[in-house]
Amino acid sequence: MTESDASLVARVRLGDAAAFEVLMRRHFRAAYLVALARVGERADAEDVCQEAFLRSWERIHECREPERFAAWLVRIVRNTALNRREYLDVRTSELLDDSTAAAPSRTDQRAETLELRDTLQRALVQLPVVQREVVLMHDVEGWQHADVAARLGISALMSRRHLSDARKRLRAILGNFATLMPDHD
Amino acid sequence: MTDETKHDGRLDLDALAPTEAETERVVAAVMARLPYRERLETPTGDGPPLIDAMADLLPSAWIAAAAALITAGSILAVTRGRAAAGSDATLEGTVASWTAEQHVPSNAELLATFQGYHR
Repeated sequence: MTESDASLVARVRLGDAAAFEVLMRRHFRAAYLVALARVGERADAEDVCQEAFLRSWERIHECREPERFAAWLVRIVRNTALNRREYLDVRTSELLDDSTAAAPSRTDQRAETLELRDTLQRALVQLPVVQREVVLMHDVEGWQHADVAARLGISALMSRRHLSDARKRLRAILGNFATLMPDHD
Repeated sequence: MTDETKHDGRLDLDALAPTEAETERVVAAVMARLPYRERLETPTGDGPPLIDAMADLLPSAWIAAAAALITAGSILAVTRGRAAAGSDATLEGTVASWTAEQHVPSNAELLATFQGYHR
């Protein structure tokens, strides 16, 4: 039986590092996607996650609703990413400038996967941050609009609107590239 | 990639999700930096309840132990003093009776009376 977040948080408060590792693995994907939406670069998203998880360990006694640990963690990740953005302005503008450049030539399947990822990433950073967060949480992490809204501090209606806008914009950006991608059906 | 499901128009952006290598890298880095040992060994007001309770009890426990030692020492000193005084009176009485009776004590009587060779 899977141990609840609330139970794990209680153990973490007693200094249980193993319980913290379980929480971290459980919520890493969501934390990473939120970080990626904010900073736009995978290596930076990793750094943000690392710092955010350490902060959550140090401030675990501030988690007032342990059963909603995920939402609390997302807030820490967003704040951490926001601070990091201040150091990344130059790099981000370079990334946006490169968004129309051709991706490096690769031949094998792994290279294709990496190329797909690069292309998606370049498309993603052209969206407003909130749209990136909503589309990643909804379409990659599989959260419902109510969950997305609660974690981002917006209404469910706005979550739907952001998702719709994000999808339209991504389709427009990716355009013909979509026809080159593997069939997922 | 822009595979949209038939029902909700979901975009396939799975390629953006973290890889296993990325996950393990971050988890390992965080676990290596957790200061949990310090937290367990230097309890503060925010520490685990049991350790905090022990920390609170320590001063009063030391005071109680010191008081108990002093009390036990005093009782022991008084008891030994009384025992020694009683023993001296008995010894003098026995020796006096031997003298009056002109009795020559055996080794066994001497040992029993003087309780060994130390007196």
